[in-house]
Order: sequence, then C-alpha cells, then structure tokens
Amino acid sequence: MRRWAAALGGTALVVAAWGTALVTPDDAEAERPFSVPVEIGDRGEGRNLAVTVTGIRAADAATIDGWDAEGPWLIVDLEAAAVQSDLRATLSHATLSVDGRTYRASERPPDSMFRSELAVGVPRSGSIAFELPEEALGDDVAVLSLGLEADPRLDSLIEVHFEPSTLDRIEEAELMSSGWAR
Amino acid sequence: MLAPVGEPQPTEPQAVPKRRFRWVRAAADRVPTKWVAGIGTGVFLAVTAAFGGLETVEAVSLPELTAGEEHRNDQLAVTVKRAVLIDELPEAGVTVEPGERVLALIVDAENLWDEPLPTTPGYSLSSTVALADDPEAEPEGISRYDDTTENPWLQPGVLATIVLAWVVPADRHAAGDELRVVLNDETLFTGTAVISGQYWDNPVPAAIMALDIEDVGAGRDVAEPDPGAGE
Repeated sequence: MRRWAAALGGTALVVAAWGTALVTPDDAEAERPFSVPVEIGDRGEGRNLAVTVTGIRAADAATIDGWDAEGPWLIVDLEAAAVQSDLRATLSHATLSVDGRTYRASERPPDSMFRSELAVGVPRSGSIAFELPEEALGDDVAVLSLGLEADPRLDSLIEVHFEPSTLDRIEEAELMSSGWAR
Repeated sequence: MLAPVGEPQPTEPQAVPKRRFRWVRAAADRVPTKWVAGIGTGVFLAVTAAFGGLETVEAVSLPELTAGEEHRNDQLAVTVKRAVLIDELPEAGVTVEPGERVLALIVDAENLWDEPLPTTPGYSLSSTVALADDPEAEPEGISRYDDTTENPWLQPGVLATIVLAWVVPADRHAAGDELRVVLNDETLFTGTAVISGQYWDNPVPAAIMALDIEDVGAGRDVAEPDPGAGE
C-alpha cells in the first residue's frame, strides 16, 4: 500500500517537473519584442514609436539626391514620431523578413528615415529602402518590422505584413526626402 | 615452453594464460632496474624517429585559387578580383602619411547566411580576407566599390563589390609583385549567458591565392565604377 503510493507520488512529481520544463519559456521567448501588427495606411503605436506606413514600392533602381543604385529595391514610405520622449528616439530597427531571411534597411541612400531622429508627437515623413535579391520580391509573405533600438528585444515593434509579389514593379523609384510630415 | 618439468598440467582454462606468460615475468626479473630508463629513452627516440623526428611539421597545404576564382563557405561567397597599389584612397576610409601607400583588394562578396552581415573590423569580410604576409592586420578601410558607402552591410543573397584597403609602407610592394591572400572560414556561434543571438567567429585559413599587384599611381579608377564592376 505505502510502497505503491510512494512510487505513484514519485512518478507524478517527475511528470510535473517535466511538464514545468516543457512550458517554461526560453530566453528568446521571454525577451521577445512586443509586436504591434498594423496595415498599410494605418497608424501603429508602440511604447515610444508611432508609425504609419503610407506606401510600399518595388523598383529595379532607387535614387535620391543624385545617388542612384541598381537593386532590386523595396521602398517603404512612412511617417514616424516618438510618443513619450525624444531621448534615443531614432528609427534604428528596420528589417524585412522574407522566407526565413532577414534583410536590414540599406544605409546606402544619402537621405533615408532609417536611423533618423524622431520628435515627440510631430511626425516626420520619408522613406527607407531595402536592397533585396530578386527572389525576395517574388515571395508571397513579407514582414516589415520597425523599432527604436537596433536590438529589438523587450521593446515594441511595429509590424506590417504584406505580399511583395503583388507590388507593381517600376524601373526607378525616388525615395521621399525626409522632412516634417505635411 | 618454459614450464618446468613435473609441474601439474592445469585443468581449468583460466590457468592457461598464466602459464603461457610466466617467462615474461622471469625475463623481466633478470633486467637490471638501471636499464629501465635507458630502454624507455630508446623506445621514445624510436617512436619520435618513426614520426619524422624533430623535423618541422609541414603546414597543411591549402587549396590554391587564382584571381577571380570564388571561395565559398557557409557565411560568404568571396571572389578576390584585383590587387591594386594606389597613392591614396580616402573613398575607402583610409588616410596615408608621407611614405605610405594604399594596398587595395577588390572583392565580390555575397552573404550566404540568412541574416545581414556587417563589414566592420572583426566581422565577416574583414576576418575572411587576410594578407598572407601579415594575417593579423585587418583592413583599415572597407567600402563599396560603386558608391563608396563605408562599412556596408551585406544583405543575404545580394552581391556587392567591396574595396578592402590596407595602409602599407610605400616601398613594401611594387607593380607586378605577387601578393598572397588567405581566405578564412568562420564558424557560427550561438551566444550564451550575456551574449544574445548568433555570430561568426574563429577564422581558420581555408584557401590561399596569389595575385599580381597592379600599380595605378595616383589613379582614380579604383574608387569609380568601371564597366566590368557589376559582374
């Protein structure tokens, strides 16, 4: 009687420990960014970042201020502002995930909203550009993530899901000059 | 064998080895203890000699590539196209003092990983391409060949032509000299404890190539795209 109770209790404890280990989130899960999904044209607001993606364009070449480069390029036009504080409010995280690969916004255009400073409550508008391989523009699923820190852990990320394959491909796209919105 | 006559024959199987090796014990007992060190030294020397003695071990020979041949690993596809000696190259982010010149490698690089790779010192291309004469010297300037963006990021699957620049004493190299370049492979590590994410490190030489150095004098053509730049 006692013996089988102890065996049963022991087994139950082992199963409980195993179950606890199974449901404990790992570090990556515990530090995951807070995703704010938003549609093109809608305003998404996170901890200290409010973004409206006004348009997404695909082009063979990108140009601005006398700089031009062959791509293909994906150009994201957006308006962005800080929400609480100007302190460290720069659009430092801009990535595009397509088919398991992550692309980072290009540092090549001389004028871009990527890594630009934001102001509280007064949106700035401009573009960010992604230099991509051909196959990425033919894919059906892409996620654009925008955030304030290059390391996105534990902060909000404004995320836009879209279909690159449905975009009209133009020959050359000019990035918007960065400035105050409207 | 050496078993003395008259000893009873063993009936159990286990007793057989005991009897068979008895002579070893007997022989060992006759060896004076003083000999042991000598015999040990002799054995050690014989084994050393068998493996080539104290001769310097020949370095593992790396595959030899020629200019324009691609080297591929899990991180990058790298093609070193030209080696150029130039008076100065501010576009690549290097400044020279009097008596110095710039040695530049023009390299096609494609990121084969699924994350963007920085080209800042210590990462990706700067750890992958090294000069055989001075493998510890990382390039002092790294920029794109087409629009001179400094320390550009390599996007997955996107080919980029990059200029790697070293400042060298003006008399170290001359036009037509052979420059030996080592291409390293790095290993992907996953950060633990205070390091998060994955990173490439631990460069190990994987290929070597010899290029003829071109001297372009004060030439401007290195920093500006030529018709064959995008190939």
